[in-house]
Amino acid sequence: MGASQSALATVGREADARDASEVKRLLACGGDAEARERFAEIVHRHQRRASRIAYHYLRDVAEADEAVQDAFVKAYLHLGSFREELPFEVWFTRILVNGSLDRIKSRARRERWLLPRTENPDDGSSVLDQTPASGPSPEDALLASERQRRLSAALGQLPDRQRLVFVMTQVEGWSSKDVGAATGLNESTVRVHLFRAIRKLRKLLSDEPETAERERAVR
Amino acid sequence: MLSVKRLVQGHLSEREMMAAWQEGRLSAHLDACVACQDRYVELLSFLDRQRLAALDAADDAFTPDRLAAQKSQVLRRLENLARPVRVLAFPHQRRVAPSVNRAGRRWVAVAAAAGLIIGLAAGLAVNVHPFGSDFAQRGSFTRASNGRPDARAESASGPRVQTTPDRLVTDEAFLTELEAALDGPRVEELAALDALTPRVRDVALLVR
Repeated sequence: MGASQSALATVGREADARDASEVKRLLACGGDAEARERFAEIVHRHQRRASRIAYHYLRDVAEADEAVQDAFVKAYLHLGSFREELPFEVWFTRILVNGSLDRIKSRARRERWLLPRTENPDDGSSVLDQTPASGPSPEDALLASERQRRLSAALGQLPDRQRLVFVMTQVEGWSSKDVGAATGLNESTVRVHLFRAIRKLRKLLSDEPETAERERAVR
Repeated sequence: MLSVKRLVQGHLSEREMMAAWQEGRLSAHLDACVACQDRYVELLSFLDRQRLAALDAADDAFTPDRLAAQKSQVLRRLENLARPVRVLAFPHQRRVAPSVNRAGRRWVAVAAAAGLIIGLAAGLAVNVHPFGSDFAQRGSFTRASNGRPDARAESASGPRVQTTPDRLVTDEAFLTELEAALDGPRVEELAALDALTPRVRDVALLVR
């Protein structure tokens, strides 16, 4: 995490703590409407990041959307139990991760008893794999789309924990300590998961043109 | 396998390289070894590419519109939490009656059955039918009027107390009075219908 990112994160955490304590105060004195308005700011600040984590963890847009909504509602309901010594985003992400984990377990149970759902009967690829990329030109868009598809496929082959740790550290830029606090894992376990995730991803994506080129140059 | 090879060749293993990246500290070897530096740069580049690809994928899936809808949905749900729950009148199955009422109904059924049985038993014991005791008498009277006394009936019922037509006349008078008292037309609209209905006394007169 760079210095500017770190400064932004600090500012964000301070704003979170301020808003969260204000929402708690408003709820205590019966100002529900004001509390919701204040909480809306927290939602606005965290929903993109939360959606990214849930999306890569659950690998389904609609389910990730629901998981994020549930997490925000749960956070609002249990805001009384939130203590300021823990950053709000860590506390909230823990709620989100636990909810997502429940969804994964539920999905596994469903898939054990029901037929697997094929979202695209033509090639069997998921909606996630077909997500269109934004790019300045069709070629760039195609390349970016291909890269996303390959990464999504590779991420899909990682165990859930490894995928979560990879996304939180690599995509969201969290420290191992914060990831540990949000996932309930030991910090060293987080590092091990991250190491294994990266090693596996490199192996899976080793035939990527750019990577192969670089590796050939190094050798 | 690759890391072992690297280690044998005197370079950083993959794990060491990752540790250097995770801790953000470059080891002395990495400072000096160009090959390991290249590998390190390649690792950083790989991670950066994957980070960007992952960010793009998520951002393409969660467009600003979708995020706005998500936010409004969250706020709507929070608003609904504050409202009291509204129960919609919806067609539903008939509610099962509480067990107390069911037990009560059962008692009513049992009481009705008991009442019926007691009534039947009492009816048999008392034999209050107006014609019940007269059928045999009427049969013997009919036969007696023909001049052929029924010995079998006589032996079965024993000696009769009163077998004369006087008894029948008394009964008929009583029944006539009773019928007049009970069956008289109470509703004017039914008076015509009542007039058409044959009476027991008319039948008795015919028999006589």
